[in-house]
Amino acid sequence: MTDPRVQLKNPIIAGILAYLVPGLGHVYQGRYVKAAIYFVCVLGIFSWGCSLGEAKAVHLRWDGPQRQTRTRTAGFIAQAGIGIVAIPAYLQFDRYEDEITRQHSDQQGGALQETIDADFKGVFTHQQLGHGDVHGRITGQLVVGQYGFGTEFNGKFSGKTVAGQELNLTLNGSSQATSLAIGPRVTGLDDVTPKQLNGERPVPVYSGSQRKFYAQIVDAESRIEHLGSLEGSIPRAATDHFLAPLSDEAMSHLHGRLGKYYELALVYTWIAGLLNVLAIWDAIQGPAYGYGDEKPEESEAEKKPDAAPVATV
Amino acid sequence: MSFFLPLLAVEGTTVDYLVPLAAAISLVYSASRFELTERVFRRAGRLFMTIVGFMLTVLIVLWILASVL
Repeated sequence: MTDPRVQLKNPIIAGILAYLVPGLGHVYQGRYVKAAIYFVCVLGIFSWGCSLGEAKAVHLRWDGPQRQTRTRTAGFIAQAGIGIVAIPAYLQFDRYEDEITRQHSDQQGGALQETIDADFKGVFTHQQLGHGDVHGRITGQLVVGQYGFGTEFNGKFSGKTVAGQELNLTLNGSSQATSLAIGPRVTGLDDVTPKQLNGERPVPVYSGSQRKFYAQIVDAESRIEHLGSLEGSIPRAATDHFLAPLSDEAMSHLHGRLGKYYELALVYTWIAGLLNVLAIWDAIQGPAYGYGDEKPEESEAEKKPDAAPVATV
Repeated sequence: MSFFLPLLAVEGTTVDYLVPLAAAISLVYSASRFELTERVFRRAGRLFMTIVGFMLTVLIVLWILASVL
């Protein structure tokens, strides 16, 4: 029985609010000190965990009943105690699944259509202009490929080389002819591997914030003659990588790079999610043990003053 | 006392991450038990000391075992 001094108002609404944002249900009930405790402690621990894991410790991914997938899903169930995080993560998972389906259905004619207008960073090779690092802007259109197979890109690059030379290139490529490779809109599937032209080994950079981009440079007039290639990365919108699923390679890369801090990030976010379950319960049912000013229960001896005294020697 | 100094130096970095976690757990758990602010903080303080004490005990036992064995 909840203490009558604790005003729970509508416990269902309070519970939903507490689930969405730690402490919000208590604000609704006018229990401000508790709201502050839950908000600061739960969100503080959660944010710290996210920061340790470079905002990639929270995501949902389900590939089937393999051991690794089960472990990830169990972790997400713990993190899902905080609705403001769990709901977007679930939506990102849904979008990711859609994108996977769309990619698999490429062979049947389905393909992603998209306008690309983004900053580019990478390298170029050109029959006449040579090769080197470039940065600039890519504009163009990704369309359904010929006869409905794969995707094609038609666009332009304008930018500068590291030496300051201005470049204006015409780009064209088809995913079917492997003259085009562009990372998915929602993160998780591939890596960005900047081609190193100075003899160094290619270094994969697994990052949800970047999409891989590779297209062929073609002659501006004919649009057929291949003159070289452009390879690098374009940024992915924050809404397309925040809380989105990661590929296995990206997970391994993160584990390798962050080491124990990624484990700490997982533990922090799991515990924060589970702690919020206590806050939700408190918003719905009130404090578990009472108001806090109750006197301790009387001992048996105090209850029965006429009880026989204990014999002493 | 000097026996434990390396323990603090080596393990300090990892343990540092667990102390705020223990504080948050103590506060949230205690807040879900009682309504009265003073009681919540008093109980949270006691719980925090218990958790940290337990962790330190385990740490010391493990350190001794690692040093002896």
